Amino acid sequence: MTTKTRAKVRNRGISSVFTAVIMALTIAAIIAAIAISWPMIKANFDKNSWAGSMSLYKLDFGAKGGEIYAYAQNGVSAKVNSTPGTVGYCITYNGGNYIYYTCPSNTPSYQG
Amino acid sequence: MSSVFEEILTSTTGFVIAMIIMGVVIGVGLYGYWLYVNHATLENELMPIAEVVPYQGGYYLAIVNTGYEPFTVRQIYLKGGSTLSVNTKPLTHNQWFFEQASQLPIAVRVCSAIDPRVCEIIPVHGWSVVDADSLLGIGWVNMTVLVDWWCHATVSWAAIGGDYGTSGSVTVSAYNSFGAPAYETVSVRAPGPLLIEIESSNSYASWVKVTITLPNGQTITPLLVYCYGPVNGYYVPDQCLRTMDASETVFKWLFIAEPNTALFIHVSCYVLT
Repeated sequence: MTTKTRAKVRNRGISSVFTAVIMALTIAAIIAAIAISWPMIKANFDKNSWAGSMSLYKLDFGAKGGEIYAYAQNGVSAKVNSTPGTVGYCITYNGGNYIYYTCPSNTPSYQG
Repeated sequence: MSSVFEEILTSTTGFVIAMIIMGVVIGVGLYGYWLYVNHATLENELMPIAEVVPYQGGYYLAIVNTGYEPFTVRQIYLKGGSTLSVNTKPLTHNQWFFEQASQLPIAVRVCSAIDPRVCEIIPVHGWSVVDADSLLGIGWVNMTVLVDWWCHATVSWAAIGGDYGTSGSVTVSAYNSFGAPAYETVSVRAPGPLLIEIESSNSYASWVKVTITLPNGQTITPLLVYCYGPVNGYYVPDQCLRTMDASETVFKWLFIAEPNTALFIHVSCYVLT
């Protein structure tokens, strides 16, 4: 073999390995990117479903024996007192003539 | 010089250099992406809820961690433009933080307790009101009691169906009114139905008649009508009569009124002169 021919063969060999390495790196990078992204995708999904459930979270009221009770979700309930207290994820108190309450489904305060 | 450089670039050494450069670029890129993903994940796992109600002339702010990533409350933004700086202990799942402010809180900044650089600004939820009386079934009974000349009436009431201490009475008299009727208006805050009694003791009248009218013109028929005295009285459907010569006869009407009603009670009597 002449020097010229040997160089040609060597160059062709390097480019094949080079292609293989690039492909391997690309595949590894794609797999790594997907693997890394998964917690973010899951957290994003969680937050969306959380926001959806919170936009429906509200209180109902009822009276029993001259006392007012507040009912939240999942069977959570409490007597409404004259000082603010929590009922589930809501806050309520009896201001005398009116019962004040705020829940995750209430519109933002700057709109009121 | 250039041939040496070319030899390095095209030889195995050049290939290795190229691989190292690529590896570093991809590695740094993935690491940067990993940092971004961690940040975004921590931000998405922050699940704070901030709520406010007006209270004692100011505002009562409550913040709860509805998620599982602990966070601290850093700043509260008020409607007037000012900021309250707070630095709470990390709030874990279902833990609350309460604060009273003189101005309306509109937003809150919370930061992850895992990575303090991950922060989120969330709006504060406002409030609603419910009428306490309507929940308790409390309503007003408004009564106007009109008595004609020579008549007299005492209207008394008491709550039935529960002891809430509601009772009272009002007396209207037109004995010496020189022909004019007399009237009183009274409003009763009723926790339920009221038992109302109209009593009209009279020494002058030979009969007393009571009509109870609603604003729509309908009349109420009393549950019971009593007439008694030294000489027994008796009654025809809506009036009490008595035999003459009795010194005083008691005339009584009983009926029930529901909350949120207005009643016009007219007491008339016939006096033989």
